[in-house]
Amino acid sequence: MWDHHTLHQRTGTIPGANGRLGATEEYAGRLHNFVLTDEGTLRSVVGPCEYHPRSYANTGGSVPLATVYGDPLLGVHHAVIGGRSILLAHYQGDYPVIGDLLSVWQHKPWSPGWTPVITDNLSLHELSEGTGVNVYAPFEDDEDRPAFRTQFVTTPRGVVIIPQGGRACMTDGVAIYPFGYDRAPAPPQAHGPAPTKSATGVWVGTADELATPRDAADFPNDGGYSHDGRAWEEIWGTCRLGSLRDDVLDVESGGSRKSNPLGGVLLSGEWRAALQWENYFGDLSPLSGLSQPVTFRKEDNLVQEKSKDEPESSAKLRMQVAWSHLQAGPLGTTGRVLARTKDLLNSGMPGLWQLFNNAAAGSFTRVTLPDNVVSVFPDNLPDSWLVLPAVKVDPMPRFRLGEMYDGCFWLARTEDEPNMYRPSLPGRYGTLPEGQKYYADAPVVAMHAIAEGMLLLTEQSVSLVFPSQGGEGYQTRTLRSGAGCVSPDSVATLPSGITLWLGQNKWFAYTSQGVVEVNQEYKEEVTGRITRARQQQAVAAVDPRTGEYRCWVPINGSTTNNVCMICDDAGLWRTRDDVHAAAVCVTQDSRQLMLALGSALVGGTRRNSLWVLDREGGADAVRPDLVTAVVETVWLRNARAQRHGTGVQFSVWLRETRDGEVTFEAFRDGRRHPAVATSTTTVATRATDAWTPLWDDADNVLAGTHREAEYGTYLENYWARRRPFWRREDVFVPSAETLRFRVSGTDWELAGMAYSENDSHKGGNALGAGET
Amino acid sequence: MWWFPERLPKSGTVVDPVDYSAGYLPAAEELGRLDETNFNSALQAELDAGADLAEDVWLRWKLLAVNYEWDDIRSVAAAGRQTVGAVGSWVPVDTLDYSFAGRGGILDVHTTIQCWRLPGVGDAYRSVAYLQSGIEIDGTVVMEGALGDFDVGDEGQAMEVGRTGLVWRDALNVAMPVAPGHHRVRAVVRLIPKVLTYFGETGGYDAFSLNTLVDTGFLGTLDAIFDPMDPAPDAYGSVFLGSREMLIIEKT
Repeated sequence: MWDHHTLHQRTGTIPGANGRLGATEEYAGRLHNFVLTDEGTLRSVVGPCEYHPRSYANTGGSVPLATVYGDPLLGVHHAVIGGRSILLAHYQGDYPVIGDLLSVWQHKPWSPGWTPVITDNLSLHELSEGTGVNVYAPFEDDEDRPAFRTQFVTTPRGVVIIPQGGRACMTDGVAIYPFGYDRAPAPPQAHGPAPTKSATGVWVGTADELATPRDAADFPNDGGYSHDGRAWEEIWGTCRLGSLRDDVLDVESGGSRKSNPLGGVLLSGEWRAALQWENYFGDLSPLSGLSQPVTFRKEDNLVQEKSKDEPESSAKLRMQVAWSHLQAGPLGTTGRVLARTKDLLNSGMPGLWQLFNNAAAGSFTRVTLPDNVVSVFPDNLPDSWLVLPAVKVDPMPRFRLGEMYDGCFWLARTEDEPNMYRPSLPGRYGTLPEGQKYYADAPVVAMHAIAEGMLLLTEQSVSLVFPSQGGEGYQTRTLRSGAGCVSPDSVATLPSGITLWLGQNKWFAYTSQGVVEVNQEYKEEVTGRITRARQQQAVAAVDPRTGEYRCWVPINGSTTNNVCMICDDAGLWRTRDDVHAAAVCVTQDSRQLMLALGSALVGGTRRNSLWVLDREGGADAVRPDLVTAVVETVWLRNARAQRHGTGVQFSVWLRETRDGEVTFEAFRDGRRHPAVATSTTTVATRATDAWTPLWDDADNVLAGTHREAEYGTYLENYWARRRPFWRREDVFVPSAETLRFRVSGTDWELAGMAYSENDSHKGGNALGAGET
Repeated sequence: MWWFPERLPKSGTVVDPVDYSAGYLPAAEELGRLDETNFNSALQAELDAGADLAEDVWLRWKLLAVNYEWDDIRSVAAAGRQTVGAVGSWVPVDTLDYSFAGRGGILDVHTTIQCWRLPGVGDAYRSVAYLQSGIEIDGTVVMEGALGDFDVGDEGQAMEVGRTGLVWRDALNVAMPVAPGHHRVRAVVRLIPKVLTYFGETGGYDAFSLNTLVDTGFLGTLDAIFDPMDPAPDAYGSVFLGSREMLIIEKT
């Protein structure tokens, strides 16, 4: 709105900021420590408060004991598994017995503190007991080197914890075990028949057998672990293992006057077995190597002609075998699969098949041995019953990245193959099917599931992974080269579906228009100042309530994330620094709290804790220092700076918050120092020209504001919303090229700004040059 | 402790209903939801590892009572007092009567009832009639949990035939699986005459008292004592029910 000498340039709402020199006046130049309200105003950040408040135990109510959140702060994650709320954090804590402990800690709501679940001293703690069990060495990375933060991935069975440089593990809040198996069991030992006479002609067998030696040629399977059905009562039936030919009739053995009147021959046969573990979370180990074979030798269905024995069916020749030395699995193993070949000489079917432990039913039982104790399995299962192929599994490598997509757990960035990414079996999140691997063009930095597929972000590019149109496996399409990612935790998706991530000194977004670069505005303030050596520790999350993408990054050489870039659904950017978040998450329960593991200013010093953002907390909570929210205009009148103007009045549209004040400053001509006008007294954060109900500590709750002061009579009580109001600050900045105003304070709310100026141009009355 | 109000009313802040509502809402939400956050450390140990806290752990309870404290038996006319005189059939206990619609599951019912006989005549009557008490679910007394179930075995005499004496308190508990739907739970008592097997049997009755009663002419004839069909309350004395309560826990 222009008039000849006075300019009123109004900016109704200014939810976004733009740091560019020539930014249009619809933007603020800087918006710091504001949160967008439901009404579209900006209110200064409140809180944070501690998630686990300081303990008042054993202090007599005097000085609270601090829960120790020592550096490094490496990760935080919340999940709900089976209705159970699981909160995990990774930091250097203080355990009552052990002392300083870099650990992944679990927070149990019913318990007064944090319990270590994985520690750096080779221990993996049973969650229920809190005692250490030496299992493996999860952490090599016990110092705060530049690295990705500890990764957490929620699966339907539990949370996968991926320490950087350590072995991943999985917890459902009750138990914690190594994620998948990194090794295979030993092969089982075979027990089957042997010839009664060894190859060297020596008689072998038990003492009874040797006392009545039999013809090794006629009874070639009578030694060793020899169990067939011939000695059984008829009602017991026969054994089941072995291939028969029943078309051979009346074979006579000349030496011993034996014949085969009913016919039938047990053919030579061979079987091998392999073992596989299954753990608490349903993950399978790689199959062991194949056992030594169980071997049957060809045997005729002979009877002695002069004996009184009746001829028997050749089915009586079938045998049973046994497998022993079934190795018990490591901690977390709850069952074992014993797999066996079919008759390798006769079946013509290669491969291993799962045995089951019940002859009557259960050919689809989960595992062969539902325990981790027994070491022997008597095997009387015929080949024809074997219908479940054994699952071929690769060992679980050490890896740094994980993501859930398409019902599978995807892992990437293994120690040996940083470019490789691969899926698990569906439903078995720690079980890697043999050989299913994919490779990217550069080391993988992040994987992030979105509606269209899974974004695969490498150091160089971004691709989309989606199910193969061929129907088996997955395929990849590169979306944009040169739009790589630097930190896996910087990736997050806004409610609108736009996915943002931090690249090299810039943010990128995957939108319906493809991959685009965003946030050029804050280059000078933030993006250009990111500590490059530490950018891989940037962390981000989307606040469900405001829909804001919040990404904490280290700037100005800081080794910790010391500023948060905010982008809302409208693509508008702001900053905040109430918490220096080393890790961040959103609780997945009804509370939808945003939690940040990091530091905040308490009494002027930075203090580590797990903070609940945007919450003030209970009355007895540790109260961090109030943050100062700052709004600065852009350089006003920059589009007409060649014509000097005089700033006359600056107005802010506020909304009542408290009985306080904000600081006002004015700058001129492109310099943000010194302020040419400063006022701290006149811009009140409540309307002073109208009745405002105030809370007070006095006995009457509203401290007299709800009664008429003069007569002491009570006014009618009613609830009133905080009202917006204008505050004008007279300012005189004579003949300036550009103007800039700054308002800062604690606990205040901004709705809009306006300013007025007098154009220094003298209209048509100025004399022409040289006309004196 | 586990909810985090967004803003606290502080001196000098502008009173705003939306701000304050935001402060109260987390607590209200928390109260409306049952999960392990609501359990203390002692109770959580009883939760199985496989418990689905969204589904498995669910209970509701109802407490009915007439006084929680021991009734002063000297004031016979205290409010809520109930007299049980008729012999033979189960009598509902006043107030301990609850109907509800449930999701099905285990019904865990506990009752305690304070009982006494009229001061002065208790001695005379204590071996004459027994008070049995039980819990009735959907019209059927759960005899397995009743005092006086006639399950003569190794149990104490009171468990078999009921209680007698001057002053006592019965505490019962039954747990029953019930189907989803409407149910009615009541506490019931009944007075029965003492069953005599033969004179002088240990535990059958108190010979001294019996003789005393006959000798003093208090009871008249022995027939009056041993006829189970005789409904005359004055022959067996009345039992008074004082403070009592019933706790019903429905576990799903």
